[in-house]
Amino acid sequence: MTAAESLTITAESGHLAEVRAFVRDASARFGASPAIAADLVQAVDEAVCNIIVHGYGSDRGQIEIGAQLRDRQIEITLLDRSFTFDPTTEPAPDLSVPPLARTPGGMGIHLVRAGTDEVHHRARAGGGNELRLVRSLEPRAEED
Amino acid sequence: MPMTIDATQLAGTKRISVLVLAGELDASNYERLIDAVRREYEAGSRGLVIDLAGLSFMASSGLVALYAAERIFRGEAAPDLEAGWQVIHDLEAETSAAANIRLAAVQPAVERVLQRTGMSRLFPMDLTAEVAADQLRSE
Repeated sequence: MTAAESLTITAESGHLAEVRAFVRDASARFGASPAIAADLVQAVDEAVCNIIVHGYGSDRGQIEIGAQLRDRQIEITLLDRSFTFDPTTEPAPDLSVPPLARTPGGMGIHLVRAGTDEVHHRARAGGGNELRLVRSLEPRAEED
Repeated sequence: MPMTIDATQLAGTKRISVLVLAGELDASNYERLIDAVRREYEAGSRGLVIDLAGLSFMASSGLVALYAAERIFRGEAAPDLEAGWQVIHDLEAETSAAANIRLAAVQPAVERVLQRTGMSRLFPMDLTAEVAADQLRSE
């Protein structure tokens, strides 16, 4: 079964709640458990915030968020026209180091990775980024 | 969902404040939490309970706010928020739990974020704000 929905926002942090509500509702309609939906909401919030803050900066471009169910996997696609940046190349933070002793950065992308099974990036023709976040509807071993 | 912050200063020899958060803490509102923490410290509080019973979501920017709160309640200057996670860059290595701040009634989605980022090691957590306040009084 395939189903798809989309939302377009202006790149402002005030729209993050709208994005979360969109992902939460889509996840529920696609049959995600509350834990999986919460993980996706967290991952998408962090990824969209990254585009707003680091991609567009003071610009107010558009971000299109698509949600699709395919083969029992939820796929969230983020499209923007900010400068080309591949967050999947960011190193993971060293969580073995106490929080206050860590070097900065990477916590947002860490939460994106933690809440999804796959993260894919590609540069868009004409500029900008396509980021695909994929999460299976099947529970993980460590989840209830 | 907008975030609300209700502040109460408890009576006692050690001044303790309770901040009750409700809603969702994200990049659009985390600076309000830092402002609220700063107000309580400047009003004389030296212990802080952050009651998260009504908080259903916390973004990584909320973690930055918690870092800032920890720093403020150690009597240090508030960090430069433009730096984001850079707030921790200049701090010396800290291996013990946060001084003078406890989290209460942390909900599952927020607790998962704290655990996944290692922040759960920094902030002691209690089941209720009352227990957290008692713990701060006894320190």
